Amino acid sequence: MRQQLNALFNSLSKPVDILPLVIFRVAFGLLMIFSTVRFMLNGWVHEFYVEPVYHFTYLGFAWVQPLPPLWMHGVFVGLAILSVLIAVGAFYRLSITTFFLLFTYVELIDKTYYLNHYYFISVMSLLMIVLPLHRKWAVDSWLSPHIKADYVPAWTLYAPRLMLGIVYFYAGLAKLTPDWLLGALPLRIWLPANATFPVIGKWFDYVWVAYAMSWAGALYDLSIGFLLSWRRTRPLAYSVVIGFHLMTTLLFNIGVFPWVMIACTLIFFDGRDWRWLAQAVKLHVSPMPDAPKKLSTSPLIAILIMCFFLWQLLMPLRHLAYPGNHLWTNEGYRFAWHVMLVEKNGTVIYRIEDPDSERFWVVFPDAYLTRQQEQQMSFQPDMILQFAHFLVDEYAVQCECQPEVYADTYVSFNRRAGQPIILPNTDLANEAYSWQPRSWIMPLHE
Amino acid sequence: MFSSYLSRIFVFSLLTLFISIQLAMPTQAQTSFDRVAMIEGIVTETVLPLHRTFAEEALTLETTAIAFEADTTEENLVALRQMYINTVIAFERTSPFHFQRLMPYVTQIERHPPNIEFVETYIASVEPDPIDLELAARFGSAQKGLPVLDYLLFADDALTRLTDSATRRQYVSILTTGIRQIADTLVDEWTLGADGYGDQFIAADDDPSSVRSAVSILSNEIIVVVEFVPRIWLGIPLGHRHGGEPQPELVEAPYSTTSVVRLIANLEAVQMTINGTGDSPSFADYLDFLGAEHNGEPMSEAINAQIDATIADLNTIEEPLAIAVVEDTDGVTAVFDTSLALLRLVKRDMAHELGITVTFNSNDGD
Repeated sequence: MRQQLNALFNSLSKPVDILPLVIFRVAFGLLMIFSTVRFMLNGWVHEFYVEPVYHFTYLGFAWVQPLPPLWMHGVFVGLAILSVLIAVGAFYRLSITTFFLLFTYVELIDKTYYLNHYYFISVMSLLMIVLPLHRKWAVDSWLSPHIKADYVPAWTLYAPRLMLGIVYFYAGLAKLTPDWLLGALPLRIWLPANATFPVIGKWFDYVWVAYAMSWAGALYDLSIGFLLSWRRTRPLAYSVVIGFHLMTTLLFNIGVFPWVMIACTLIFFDGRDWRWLAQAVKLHVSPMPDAPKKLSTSPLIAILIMCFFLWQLLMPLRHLAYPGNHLWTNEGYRFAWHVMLVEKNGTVIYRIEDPDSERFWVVFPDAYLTRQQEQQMSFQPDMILQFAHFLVDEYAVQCECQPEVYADTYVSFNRRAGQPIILPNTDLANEAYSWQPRSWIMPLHE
Repeated sequence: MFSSYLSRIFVFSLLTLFISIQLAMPTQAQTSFDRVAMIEGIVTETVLPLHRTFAEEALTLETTAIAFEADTTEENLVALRQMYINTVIAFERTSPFHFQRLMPYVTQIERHPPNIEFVETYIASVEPDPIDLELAARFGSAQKGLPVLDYLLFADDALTRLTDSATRRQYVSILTTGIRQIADTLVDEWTLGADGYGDQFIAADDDPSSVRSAVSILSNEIIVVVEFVPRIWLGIPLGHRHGGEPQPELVEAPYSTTSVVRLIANLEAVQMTINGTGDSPSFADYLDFLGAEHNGEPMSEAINAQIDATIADLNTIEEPLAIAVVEDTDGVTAVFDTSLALLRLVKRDMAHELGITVTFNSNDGD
């Protein structure tokens, strides 16, 4: 056992070409510039973080609130500048750390806008803080030649690969459900909506196409990490990555996610691949000097990395600790690579009652929420509860009483008949927002 | 070498995929649904005729108003009031097509609440002189349109006040002309080949992943129309924003007492939009094609049944709604509940089957 552990540590410490990491850094930085500028140009800073009067904060992060409008725009300008610095490798540690903090701050403001790829960018940028991505082809290594390196410990290359592998593999595991495999859901709903898509759109009306794409998607997610890791299958696997993500970007409104994955999976190509490519296109790349026998890593970094991956391995599985179908209850749904698994629609109407009189109020959430907030909260129990608590505070002032709040909810989920998601007659004012299983969620009626 | 290897593999895999799918394609006739024909049918067979009817009613309203201005009799006022109601109903039947792009026109016709104070102050300040038409052209949307006309024609002592004031009669005529002009503009916008909104709307369906996809736009507007019935036009007068204390003055048409008939017109328009009015494939056909069901029956039938039930319930309300919300609160609340069931059906179940949530967000989604 000790010998095997030693062998593992030795293999993680062996020197590898830094080139893939440098290319990864540049690709990541460029994509973040594109993503942040696109976000600003679409007016989303104002729409998501300035306009709403209420924000659905994450449990334990209620203190994370948007800054004043000008500052909020400043945060995004800052993110764009930091992305440039990351791409060119300037003040790298400071840039990537600040990027991680600012990006994560923005994501924590409102869970309405939770997207798997935003979470991926947060965790990847956290990981990048400890990776020596500025030791070559970087302003930092140009200004401080002593940090310049051609070799880095192998774990620095394996870590982002493992992270990507986890994303894909867990996304594949999450697809192993009766809905996905036996019902071809939700693709069976989404594909016909794209039937006017040029050339191949006509096929989307066929149910078998939805099944084929569901099974192919699951197979892709489960296997692609391994196929990219094996050098012999890597070129083919990467061409599948490009084809798969181009298809999703054309069919679905998933923004930069496909481009993030296409760019980040480049990390699977090692130094030999890049040098071969450079040779093929007649680019001059200086030959590699002799490699050192072993490169050391600080024990603290090693422990941090292990903790990071332990978290990454366990976090997506936390839904197993909750009763019921997590795709219905949403317990443990986020931060778990549950990508494109559900089509849910809902309506929520609150009834607020003054227990000491016959007074009551009926509240449609969009009186306070933006369209997107209303749409997202209408089928997510934790958000329905959060907004109920907001209404308690609002109406306690208005009615000078301790109001009771009831939610009249109906949710359609992956073609099942619409059904209440919150137990009727539950006074949500009395229900705590916590990690505990939520007994006030109606079980899914199949 | 490497890039050519890559590209060969990529082309080969695409070819294999293409051939496999071709081989696997069923040999029977194509069974996909012609969405473009559906959207074109909705425009040419439903939207345009409804807008033409509205324009015709608006023209008759204008003519009747001019006649009343010249010959102010009770008989002519009765005729004018009836023409107003006909126009209102025709306008309400265009409500599922009040898309965002057309809202600048629509708000010129209907903006709640009307600014009665301005109207009275303005007429008083001008009398007995005629209204300056250039100035009238700059009236804000709350100072004109159907809600102001509702007040001028149906408020207490309307006949006396109209008889006594030529300026007031002219104000009425000016408003009817404005409504007719906008009705004509809306017809132009929906006329295909005129480079108006109708052409853009049909073209929108070519971009299936876009928020502007025609199916998405239309579904969302149907949801808005249905939602307004319980939420605004029944819920607010029932006092849902006022601790359950009825607010009779907040009904849609407090003077003409046509609140209920307007809601019925809205729902009839939704029903026409879903079922279609011609030979083209309809929205209902599309839902059937998708296999959309609700409690074991086709969703198109469930929606139709729920619209029928809501209209039937609305017909049980005795106008004026302003009195009904006070004296028959339970009855109006029952209609509220029926219309809420309809809202759930279209907002949740219909949208679900159409898969429009993936095109609903302005943000990215996964």
